[in-house]
Amino acid sequence: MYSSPELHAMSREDLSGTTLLVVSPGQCIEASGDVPAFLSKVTSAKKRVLASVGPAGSVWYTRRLRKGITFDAVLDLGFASQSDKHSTVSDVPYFFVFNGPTRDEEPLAKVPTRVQDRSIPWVLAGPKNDRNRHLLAELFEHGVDTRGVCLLQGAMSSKATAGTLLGSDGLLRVLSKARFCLWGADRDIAYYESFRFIDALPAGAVPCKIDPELAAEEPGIPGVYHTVPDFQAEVRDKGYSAMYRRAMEFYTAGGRLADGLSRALRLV
Amino acid sequence: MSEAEINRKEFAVLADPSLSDLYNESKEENGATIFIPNWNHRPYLPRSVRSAFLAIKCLEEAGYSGELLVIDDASRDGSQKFLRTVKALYGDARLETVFLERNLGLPRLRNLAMRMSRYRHVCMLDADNELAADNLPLFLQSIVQTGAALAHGLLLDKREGRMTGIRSDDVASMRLTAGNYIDAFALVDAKKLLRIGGYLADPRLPHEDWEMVLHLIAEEEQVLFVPAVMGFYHLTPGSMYAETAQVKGLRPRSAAPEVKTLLRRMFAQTGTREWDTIRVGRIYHPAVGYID
Repeated sequence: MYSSPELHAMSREDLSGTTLLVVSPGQCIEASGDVPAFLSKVTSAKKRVLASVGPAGSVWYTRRLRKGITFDAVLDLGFASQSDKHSTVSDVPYFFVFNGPTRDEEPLAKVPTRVQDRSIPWVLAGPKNDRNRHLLAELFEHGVDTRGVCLLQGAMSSKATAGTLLGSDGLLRVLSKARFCLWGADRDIAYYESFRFIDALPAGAVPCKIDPELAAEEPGIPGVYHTVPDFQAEVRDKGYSAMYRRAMEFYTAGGRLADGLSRALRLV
Repeated sequence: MSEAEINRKEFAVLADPSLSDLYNESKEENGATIFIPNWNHRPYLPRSVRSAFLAIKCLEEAGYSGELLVIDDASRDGSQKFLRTVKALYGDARLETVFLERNLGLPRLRNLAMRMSRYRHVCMLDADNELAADNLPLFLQSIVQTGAALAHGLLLDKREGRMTGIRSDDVASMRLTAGNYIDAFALVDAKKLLRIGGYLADPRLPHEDWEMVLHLIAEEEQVLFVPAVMGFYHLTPGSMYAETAQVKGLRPRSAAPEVKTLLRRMFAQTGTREWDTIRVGRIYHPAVGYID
């Protein structure tokens, strides 16, 4: 992993045999100190690949592709391919990589811990936006167990806010005592945030997204619901343990992230 | 409480302006007093009182005990009649009522409640708001386990039956010197708050709850955020919120400039602390411990 000044310091010879996997093009360019020289160095690399973990086709996504770096490919890490959405905004070759388990997460518990040991019925996680606020209200309006925990994070960029609500392991510690991890849509565009699933499941909390637009697209990911009553119905009918097993099967069946990345990079 | 006891208390209030006869110096630790200050909120009292009774039941189920204390601040809308009826109907309920002849105002009422409370921990529930009854044991557990002076949780705004927003949903930081985001609807340690002087009854500072949080921070007392829903904040025409909005601006953070100036003079003299994102509050949940 290199910062942009470190990359800038590398020789053109070294770069000429290197494939660059760029995570944040805007930040890299901004932090480089000398934009034209930095972009020139980036151009001298063998290949430039954008690593994306977000909704394809969004303004944010398009902006990253047009920051000044000419990409040879996009690797989209997630749980469902977005090639159709990508093709509407870019001609850059697109590769979907299943955001599967990493070595750090193994061994993953195939069987959930006892539900009695999980005294927090649910955790609402995500950004402090109107959708998540609305979701919290809906949970109460539909009479879910009121003893849930709400960990909505304020905007991190504003100087006037306290930044993130929790420390690095705070959310994981709460999730390790919770049955379900709930969240709503982060943005206007239908998208499944695989990183929230990855936070929740290894901690033993079943990931559940309530997002009518995404549910309408039937993404083939377990735990996506149109409404709060749909979520409640599944909890009632299947229960925590069965929902956990189903999520775990989905996660492990997609293969390890490292394998997926290797395959994709060979194709680039 | 017997009829004679009620009369004695009412008499004491009416006859003794110092109210000191009502004080309860030895506080019990194993429960909570839910305090409802009331001034002409008769239409809303059934909702707040009902939620308080439910919360006491939840406290008892969790191994604690509780009482409801309602102090009527010289209402003219017949609130007293309603409260006497409730007391008569629910003879066994842990309900204490006090009817003041002279209006004291909210800060003094809160201080009186903290002096009167049977329990060390007092939940400040406005007469037009509603407790999330199931969660009061969670807040009590949190404040007892941490020794915090104040524990607050999320409040869901409700307008015409629909939930419209969230407040009190962030941990205390020095941003509080720029604007308040922690409502008075919270669980407090009466002993600690009284020890540092109680709520300030100063006409120049109508935001006694805001001043109290800043005062607690200045006194290095712990202000605890429990990330669960404490209750519902009802936004209804003529409710306490509407009155507050009229007197204090739409939200406390949009307080009158002279109020902000005074609070900054007290708690942020250098004029820089409002930009200081250092947390002074902690986040806690009994199932996990400190989360931050």
